[in-house]
Amino acid sequence: MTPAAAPPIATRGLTKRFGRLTAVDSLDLAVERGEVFGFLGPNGAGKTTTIRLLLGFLNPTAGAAAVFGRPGADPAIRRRIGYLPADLALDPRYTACDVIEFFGALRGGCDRQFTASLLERFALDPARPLGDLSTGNRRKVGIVQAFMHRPDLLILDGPTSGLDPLLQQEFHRLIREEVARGATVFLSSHVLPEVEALASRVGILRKGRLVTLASIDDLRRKARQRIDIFTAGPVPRGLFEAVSGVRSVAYHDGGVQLVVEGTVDAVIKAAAALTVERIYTPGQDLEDLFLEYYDASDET
Amino acid sequence: MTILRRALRDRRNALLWWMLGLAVLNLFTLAFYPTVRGQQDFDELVQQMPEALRAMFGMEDGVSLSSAPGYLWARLFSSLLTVLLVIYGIAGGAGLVGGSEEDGTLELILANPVSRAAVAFQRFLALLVLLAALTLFAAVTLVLMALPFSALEGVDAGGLGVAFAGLFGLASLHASVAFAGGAIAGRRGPGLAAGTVLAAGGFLAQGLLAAAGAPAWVRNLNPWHWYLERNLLAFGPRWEAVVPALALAALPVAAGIAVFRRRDLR
Ligand SMILES: Nc1ncnc2c1ncn2[C@@H]1O[C@H](COP(=O)(O)OP(=O)(O)O)[C@@H](O)[C@H]1O
Ligand SMILES: [Mg+2]
Repeated sequence: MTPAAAPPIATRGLTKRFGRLTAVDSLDLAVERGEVFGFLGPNGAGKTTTIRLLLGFLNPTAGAAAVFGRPGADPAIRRRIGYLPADLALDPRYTACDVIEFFGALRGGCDRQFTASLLERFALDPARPLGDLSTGNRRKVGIVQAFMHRPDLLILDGPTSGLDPLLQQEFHRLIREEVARGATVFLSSHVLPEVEALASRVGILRKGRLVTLASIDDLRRKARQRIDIFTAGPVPRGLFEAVSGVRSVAYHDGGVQLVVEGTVDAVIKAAAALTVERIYTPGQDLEDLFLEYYDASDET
Repeated sequence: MTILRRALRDRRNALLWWMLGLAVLNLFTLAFYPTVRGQQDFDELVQQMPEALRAMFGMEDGVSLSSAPGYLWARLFSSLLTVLLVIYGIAGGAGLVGGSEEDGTLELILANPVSRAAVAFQRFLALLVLLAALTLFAAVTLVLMALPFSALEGVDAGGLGVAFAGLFGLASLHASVAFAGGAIAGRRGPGLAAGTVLAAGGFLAQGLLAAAGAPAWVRNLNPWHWYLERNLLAFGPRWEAVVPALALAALPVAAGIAVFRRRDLR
């Protein structure tokens, strides 16, 4: 494959063991040019380890990882990558200005106008030392340094944790703009909504193994969610059992608890017959949303 | 050279404090010289000390401690000045890779288009530059401040130059060993340990082995011996005081970078 045609990310049998722990297990992954690929998995699934393998910080125990057809440690490849780490560790004495100047010089310059616009968008004071900044503001510095050289590939590790909702929106806008420009995004996260808002395709990682690879629409269809419906009176037995999408029903004193696969439309319409006081859908976490995938892999 | 320039800037403030410290050390040492100068009792006292002790404090037979070359060699070059520069080298060297990897700041820098070898090597070069600046500063302040105390009487000019060059060489060697320890382990501790073992071991052995009458080839294994063997200020320049330590410093640096290039980051 010529470098020009090489996919932004490709791994073959990528495996990393730490002693007896297999953090990443025979991972086969191909991220296409111009897509936003969601890399989902609970904490400890091996997402960060995969990213560190991609960037050449770790050597694979087996298999291989390539970024644009080359090792991620290659400086020519690094120039095309923007990396937002899960936790921005930089000298606390540096200001955002220092970071921009330092990393800009290493990357052979950054787009000054664009960088200035990023600082403005995220309302970041570039003159304050990182050590004095809140977690959210440090996150913004991370975002600015990852995007400022307009890379072809953005590798984002849990990008919006620590950002308030308004800034999350701004950040999502930024990602969409960059994708429209032609960038590819590898978005790692342990929560679905973040990925759902942006990704076109999703891989779910569990205990180092890729347990599913699907389009976001497929995933929505297959995703299960728990719905607790609290009612004024008792819920008549048999009301939900036959409703489409319902996978399990449990009655309790205050109402009923359901697990629904895919759309909840039919459930809501069936519930219209009741006096509903409150609806509770616990957890946006994968643990709740992808019961199916987890159950399946737990059986092994 | 971006990494080198950044490393220099990061350490600039600390360097100024070190310079202040060394200037004060020089000043105090020089200020006491007039009270010691020409005191015969002092030499007699020294003669009664065991040889190991004398060797350890840089007091050599044939060089009066109450002369400028004897006094300065014993009070600065065989003691605190050398030890402080070596400590600066060790603390700096251990932090270059090991320290910054341990506190997590190295990884994001390495996400940039720059090789690990380049980062490690440029940082080590920066430390050499800082060490050279600190040594030069110590030399200049010593010479300037010695004038009012007439503390350079009888001091061999070439020997004084080589004494400072040798100081730089010895500190560089320790910096290199500490750098390698940190770069291989990915933590600061092993670097500090490696440098400190060489420093403490070498410094003590220099005095003790001489007193114990160890054969020359054994004593010649010790870099501190190369430097301290003979009073440079009294007897003039010796190339062995500078060149071997500097040349040897290349080895640990090369080994440290070779391992650091290939291994996993922490
Ligand atoms: N350097 C390391 N040494 C040993 N174990 C590690 C190391 N890095 C990660 N791990 C382990 O590998 C597993 C996966 O971690 P990680 O990739 O950080 O997961 P995630 O990013 O999905 O939360 C965890 O059990 C973690 O403790
Ligand atoms: Mg992680």
